[in-house]
Amino acid sequence: MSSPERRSVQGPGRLIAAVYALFALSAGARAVFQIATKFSHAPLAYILSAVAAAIYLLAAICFTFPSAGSWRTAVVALCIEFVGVVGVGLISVLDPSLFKDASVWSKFGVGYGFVPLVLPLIGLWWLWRPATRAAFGELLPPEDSVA
Amino acid sequence: MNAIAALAIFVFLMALSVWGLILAVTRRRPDRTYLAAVAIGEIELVLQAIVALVVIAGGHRPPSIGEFLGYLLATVILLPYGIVRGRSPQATQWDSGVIAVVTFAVAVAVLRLLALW
Repeated sequence: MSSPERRSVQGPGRLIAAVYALFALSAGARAVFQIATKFSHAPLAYILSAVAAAIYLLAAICFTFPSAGSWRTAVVALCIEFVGVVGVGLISVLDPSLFKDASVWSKFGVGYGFVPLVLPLIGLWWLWRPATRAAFGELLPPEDSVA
Repeated sequence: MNAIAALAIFVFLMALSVWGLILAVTRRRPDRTYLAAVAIGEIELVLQAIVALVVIAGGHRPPSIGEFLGYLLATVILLPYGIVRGRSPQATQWDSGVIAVVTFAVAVAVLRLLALW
């Protein structure tokens, strides 16, 4: 479909995209700083923080530039994010010695008020709505409405 | 950093965050008064950053200076982003929510700055 004007995300997506960008920034800056200054202290936690930051950034970019491809990429990214926060959360509770320093996802994101646990669920709920899918061009729009 | 000034800025930012949240849940986009208040918050944060940099230039060394400077940068760049979003003609109640989130994040960053000083 060749729509002349660039699609833009409306509605709750504007807020969700901003929160993802904020998490990409904070997790990314933290990971870069920790890997640069004290990598050997808790390598697993720092690498996971960097992975988390990359996923947040990917999702934020997908939300900002809607297309059918970015919709699918975002769904995959958010599923990985949810599995990541639950998996890392469980491991950090069961074997804390692996995480001498906190990562974004350790203990289910308690350091960030559990937002990392809830965020992918809210994001997936929003992506799944017909209005959002239409806005991303993933379904034929029912009308001229946008999400 | 002056603890009382930093805490005053923290309280102001938290008030801005609650204000943004109220606008968002009552389905209102950011209005001029609110954006002006957010701009005042940004001025306070820039002044705080200038003071902190002057004191650091004068010889004070926070124990983890790289981390401190990272948070200091975050405290001055986030609110302008929120203001730009809020001024956009297409802004909606969700942009009030965006500003509520960034003012809250900056408020937390100010507390981190104080702890790292």
